[in-house]
Amino acid sequence: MITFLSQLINGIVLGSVYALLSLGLTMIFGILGIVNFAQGELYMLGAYVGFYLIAILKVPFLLALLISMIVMGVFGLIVERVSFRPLQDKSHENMILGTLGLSIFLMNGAMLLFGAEPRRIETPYAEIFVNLGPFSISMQRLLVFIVTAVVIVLLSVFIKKTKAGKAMRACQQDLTAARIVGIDIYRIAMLTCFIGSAIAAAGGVLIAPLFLVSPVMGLKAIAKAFVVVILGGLGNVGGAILGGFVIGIAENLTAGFISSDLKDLIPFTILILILLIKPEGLFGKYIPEKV
Amino acid sequence: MKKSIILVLSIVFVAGLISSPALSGKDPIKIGLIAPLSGPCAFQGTSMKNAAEMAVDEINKKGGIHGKNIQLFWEDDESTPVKGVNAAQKLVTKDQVLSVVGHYNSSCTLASMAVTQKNKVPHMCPVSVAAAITGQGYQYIFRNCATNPMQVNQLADYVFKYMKESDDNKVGFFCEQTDYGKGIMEIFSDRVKAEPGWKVVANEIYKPGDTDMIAQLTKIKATNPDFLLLGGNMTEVAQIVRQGKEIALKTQYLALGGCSNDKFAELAGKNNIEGMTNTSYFETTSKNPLAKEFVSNFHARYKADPDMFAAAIYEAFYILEYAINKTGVDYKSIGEWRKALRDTVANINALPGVQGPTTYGPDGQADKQVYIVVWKDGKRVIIYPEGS
Repeated sequence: MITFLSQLINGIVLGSVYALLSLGLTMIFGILGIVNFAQGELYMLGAYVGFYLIAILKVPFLLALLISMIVMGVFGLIVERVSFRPLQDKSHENMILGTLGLSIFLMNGAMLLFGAEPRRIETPYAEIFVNLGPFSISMQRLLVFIVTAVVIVLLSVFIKKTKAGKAMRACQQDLTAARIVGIDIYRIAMLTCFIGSAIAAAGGVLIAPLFLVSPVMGLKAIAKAFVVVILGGLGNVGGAILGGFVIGIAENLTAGFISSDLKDLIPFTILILILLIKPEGLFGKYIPEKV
Repeated sequence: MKKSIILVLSIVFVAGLISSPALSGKDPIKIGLIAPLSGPCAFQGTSMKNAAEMAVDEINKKGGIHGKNIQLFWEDDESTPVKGVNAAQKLVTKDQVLSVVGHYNSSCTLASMAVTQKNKVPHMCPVSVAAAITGQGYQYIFRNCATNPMQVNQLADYVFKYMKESDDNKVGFFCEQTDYGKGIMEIFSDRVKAEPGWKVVANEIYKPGDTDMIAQLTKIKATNPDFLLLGGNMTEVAQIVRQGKEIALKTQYLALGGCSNDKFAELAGKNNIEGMTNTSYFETTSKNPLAKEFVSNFHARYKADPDMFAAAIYEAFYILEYAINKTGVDYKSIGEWRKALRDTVANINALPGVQGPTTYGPDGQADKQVYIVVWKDGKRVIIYPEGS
């Protein structure tokens, strides 16, 4: 029972990271209509910004998290202007190859700039343990979950209550109609990229002290994020969050109770099943309002 | 004007292609080095190249061998066997090297040694540890480091003799899902099963490149192992011990030579590996006078301590220096020269080196000492053999 609960908690923490990575992916698709293969690299670059702030400039962890989110948000604006906007009216092949190219460019650029060797971020939170009844969890891992929860709450308030959020939803529902009622769709696209990129950076900085920072860290993460997004329904914010937790928990329970051989097999089996049985995603139908 | 330049260049190029590589008195001695200079093992590969360049510079500064300088040709295999084979092919046929030194990854050595065997080129293997490299009867491969079974058995001997904790010692495994990791697990687990009072309680795997190890570690923790053998490379093993600390896993960690590296302590955090026991092929604290000199020269040149990969490569170049010196440099063709060099290397007997004396067996495997070291405050201390 204790092992089951620990595996469940591990799954929720891992799921938080998947959710953060998938949120940006699903938002950019929902509003810009672009499948962003470079989302994993935004996560990787976010982790590197965090690494330099924390390890070299000795910035406290939470402040570094915030700065990295802003830096990468601005980077997202550049990506939107340089890469996404010219691709927006092109065919699907152009979009996919364009963002794939961006992903390869950013990964190799990072290898050149930062070197191939992995880096480690040290934070005081990894040494603090929180007792939750019979088992303990490090503050760092708990922080991953807490920050994810905060980000999700802030994001949903922003989307539901603010004018910009409403405009985003309008763009997602019907781009032409949104343009007719006077919404500046380029501004909304830029806002989306800022948020999507900042959230990915948050995921990178949060996970970096638990794992290691390396130029290839985005590759493995993006594969899982795609599973999550398809599970939750492309463009569906709520679906991405739930999908993240489902995949995270499924992976940990599989490794814990069946075999670690199957750990990576389960998410992709789920992916194939979803594509065969319910291609619109688990939550595609029930939540008609998508951003 | 432009046309004539192109014409001249083409003639030079074609002439270069068709001219047969005859040996001339002034030619340098060409030695090839293949290492992963990019990709996941770039750190280790760079260390190998640094050591090779240092050895070649030293030998050339002393006047070369029989008046000829050594010229180093290096290639990057990116840790992929296909690139390794291509690199070996290029060195052997195009660059016409006398000998190939190389590869970090066993998979690359296993692939490229077919090329060196077929072309009859002496192939020095200083770093790759898979048993199959010297276990297939190849005549041109020579290894100056211990094999994987040698180091795992050495570790098992030490653990059973000196680290026994009770009459019921529980051993867990957490190994990489590759031939390397599986080999470690199988050899050690056979030894545990044959030892009274010892048993295997956990056997988990991960894939190279994995980052989240918590699920497997939680499972391992539930079995309360007294010892946990981590069979893998330093990047993943560093993450395992850090995440083990997170879930408060208390066990005696055991690891192999790939983790006996200062970079490993940096990645894992020195507090997390206190007391961890490893095998090691080379230590900078070695009392061997050749090793002492090597460490201080390496430090002066690169402002860093050499690791075991650097030591092994350096030693391989000095084995070649000794053998080329003995074989001589006046041969009609490169083929004859390579053959003569192979025969000299095969008969090397107790040649001193930075990792201790080298004597090759009939399979090309040298009988090398494996150290047992323990991590204390971020440094490795040799605990076996005593006084080393």
